[in-house]
Amino acid sequence: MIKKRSHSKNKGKLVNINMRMSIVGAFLILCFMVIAVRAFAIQIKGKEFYQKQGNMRQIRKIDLQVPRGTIFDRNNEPLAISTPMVSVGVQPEVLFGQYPRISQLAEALELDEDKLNNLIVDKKNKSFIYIKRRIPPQDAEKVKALKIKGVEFRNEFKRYYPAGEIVAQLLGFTDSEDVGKEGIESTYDQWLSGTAGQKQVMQDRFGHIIKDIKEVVAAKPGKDIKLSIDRRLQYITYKELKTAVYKYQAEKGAAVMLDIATGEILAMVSQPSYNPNNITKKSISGMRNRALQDIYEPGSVIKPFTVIAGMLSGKFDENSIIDTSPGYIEFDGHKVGDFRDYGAINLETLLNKSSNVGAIKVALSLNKSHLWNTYKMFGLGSSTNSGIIGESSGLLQDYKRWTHSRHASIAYGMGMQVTTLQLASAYAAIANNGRWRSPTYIKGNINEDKAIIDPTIAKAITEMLTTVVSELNTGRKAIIPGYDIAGKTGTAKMASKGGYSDKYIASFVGFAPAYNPKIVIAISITDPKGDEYGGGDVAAPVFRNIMENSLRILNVSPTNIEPINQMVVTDDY
Amino acid sequence: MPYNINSHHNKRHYVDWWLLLFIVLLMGYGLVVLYSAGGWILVKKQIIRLALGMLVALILAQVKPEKLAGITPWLYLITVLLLLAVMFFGYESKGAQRWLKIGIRFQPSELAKLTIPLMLAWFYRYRILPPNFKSIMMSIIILAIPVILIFNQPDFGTSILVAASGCFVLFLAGISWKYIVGAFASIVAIAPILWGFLLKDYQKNRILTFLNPEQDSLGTSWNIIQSKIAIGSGGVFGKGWQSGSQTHLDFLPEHSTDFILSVLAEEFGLIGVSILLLIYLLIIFRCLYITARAKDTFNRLFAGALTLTFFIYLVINAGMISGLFPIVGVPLPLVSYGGTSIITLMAAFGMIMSVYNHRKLLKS
Repeated sequence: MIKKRSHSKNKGKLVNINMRMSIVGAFLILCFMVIAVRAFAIQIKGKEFYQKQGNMRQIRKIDLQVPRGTIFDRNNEPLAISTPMVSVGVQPEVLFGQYPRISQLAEALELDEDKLNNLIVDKKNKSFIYIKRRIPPQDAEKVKALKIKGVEFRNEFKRYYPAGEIVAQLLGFTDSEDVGKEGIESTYDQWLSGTAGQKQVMQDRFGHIIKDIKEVVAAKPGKDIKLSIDRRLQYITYKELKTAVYKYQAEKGAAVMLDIATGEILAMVSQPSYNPNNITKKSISGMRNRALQDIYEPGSVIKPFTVIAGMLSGKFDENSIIDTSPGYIEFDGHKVGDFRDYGAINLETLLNKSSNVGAIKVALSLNKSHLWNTYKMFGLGSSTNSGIIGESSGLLQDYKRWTHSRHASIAYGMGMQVTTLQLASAYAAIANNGRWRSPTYIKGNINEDKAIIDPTIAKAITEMLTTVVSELNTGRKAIIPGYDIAGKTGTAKMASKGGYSDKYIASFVGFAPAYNPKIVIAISITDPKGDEYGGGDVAAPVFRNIMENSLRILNVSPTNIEPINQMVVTDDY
Repeated sequence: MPYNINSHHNKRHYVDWWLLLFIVLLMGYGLVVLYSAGGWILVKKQIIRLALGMLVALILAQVKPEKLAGITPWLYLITVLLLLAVMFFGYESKGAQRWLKIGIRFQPSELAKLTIPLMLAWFYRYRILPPNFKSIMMSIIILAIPVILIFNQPDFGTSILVAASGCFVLFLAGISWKYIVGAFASIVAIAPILWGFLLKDYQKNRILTFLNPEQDSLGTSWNIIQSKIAIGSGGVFGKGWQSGSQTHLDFLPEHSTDFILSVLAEEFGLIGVSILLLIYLLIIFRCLYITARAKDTFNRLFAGALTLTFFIYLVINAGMISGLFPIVGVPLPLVSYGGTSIITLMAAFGMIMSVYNHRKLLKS
């Protein structure tokens, strides 16, 4: 009965349920419409906006790093090369707050975890920051294997200098952005650096590059440079200079070797040096190129040019006699003396004994302008225009402002300031038949020379300079058996506040073989300590060692082979 | 001549071919999308699940609704006990305790999606309709016990679905409009309390994100933004199968499960979405047709409620991935990769087929 009643009740309510079904049906249709409208709104009206948003996240431009050009020496030995490296960066917004991942990353890269985390927190709004630049590719592989989201790898190049500290100042170095700083790297930065390319890539959520879309800017690798430097000669020069600077506990030193025929710089060395492959704060003192940046009063190495000025004036020739008695001379209250009283001497003796009195007498007999002009012609006190950033010009005061004592002291190289490179190229002009040319760092980029003095005068001076390097004279420690050496010593007191200190600059400049010269070498060593401090004792042996080895490397045969009569053959019975 | 009811029982197997066709269409479409989103490995596993689901459906289609009604209170009891077991012995994952390990990992809340509408339909099968206040209170208790247990796991998405399935039974039973209005009013009143004491932080976050998606562009709403980019960049025709960059570059989260509709939208565009909606529409209206022809209150109520639950899955998922609703973790029915919900949904279709097989036969 109950069942029946409920059944009849149900039947009565069927209409109600069908109405509910209709409401449900209408509700369903409405919902489908809402979904359809939503889809329409996003997919049709919002299409462009969302596609742009998508591209923003998926498409990225990346720089294509190009290798910097290689710097070669004149024999194609590499002096600076770019090796591929991997730089590691992160997307701070992805890595932000991911502590276990950050510490993993810090450990793998050997970074301080707290510092790394602070960096990520600080830069959390940036899309990309570098955390470690230029690590070897095999190290980067280890980090890649961790598969940390938001870590990116970019290929870059690291500059490597195979010769290390030996050519350090001349080459300069590159900064963290691979931009050349100092030396050749800076001077020829544009040539060496090329153009980084740019391409569009598709990246996934974790910044991994999935595929290339297109190249936006074509990459142009940097161009190479072939220097005039000969790595072998550079090495010899470096070794000998460093040995001497160390032996005499000197403050610094510089050496320059030029090819006389071309003006090419074959070696240029500076002490102290630094390792350009591992630059630290301590490196800074070693970065200065002493050979072309440091200027100093050269001393007696200037005397040959004073003598040249005398000969050019017509007042002096090889046979002129100058009375240097009593071995000293006074002017404006100064007293300048010779080692001893040489008496009446000719120009040759003036040079090989390095007579200050003789030089002063020659100078004072000449017009200031003539003297000034002679020095100027040889490039003393002016930049050699070798074409490298940072070259100093030195100082040669205008003769109109010369005092009487300047007129006198300049004769023996005090009161003017020059670079070691200037000395080398001035002597190269004597060796090159009186023709001066700007030195060059680039192989084959030879500057035009100009005749500044008559070849006969140049030859006469050369002859005089060969007598300097002889057994009884100041340059005896530069003697190389078998070769005629032309050269001059210099021992200059260093200027200090209100006068001169008791520190010296020892120098030697010379060329060989004297009558068919190949190379000129200029050495200067500042503040050698100990009993020996003169150019003849400190600089001449350095010159000799370098010259001897270089002539051998350059296959320059000895000019005067003496018979080997000293050799005794003893038979061992 | 009255139709012979028994004549149907002479056939060996009962299958509603129309419903089966639509479901197979949906499954096939879903597998095509899943292949792009997750590859062949996921497709293989999904095929096994779909086949299993199909088997469950075909078996349940043969079960007489009367038999089902007979065991319904027991099913309800088992469901509640299992939910309690989850509370005490459950397996925790991602901050929620939803799983039981009985040989396999098993989620009792899925069972609730079936047994709760069944239980309420059973409750009303002989009652006078529309329900009076007392029976409404009774049914609210029946509904509230499992819903609260699921909500506490916490599983926001499933508790909404289960609560909705119960409400559908009440609605189809003809509950008076004044109660419906009253219920909405009390939800509005209770909401602040819910916010203050019951919701977990991650649920609050989801709701806040939903209200203001720009607030935290790297957290939860990052998913919605990526999803909208995927949908929007699809345009009318889509980027083409397996060419969805949002999906294949990993920008789109959960792209084989909750966000598979975004994959479809990105690769097949508005046209692809419309085809999907059409298939769903066919399934749902076929189910409603069956519901309308159910032979009694029990059949009608649970078939209608299950149909609407299936539909609610779709609405919540579509709303969720397009930024209309908060992300509550409801899959796209029969398309999203995942085990339990497929079995549950197919079981529901099996029961609906059974309703049709044992339908009220009208005189021709």
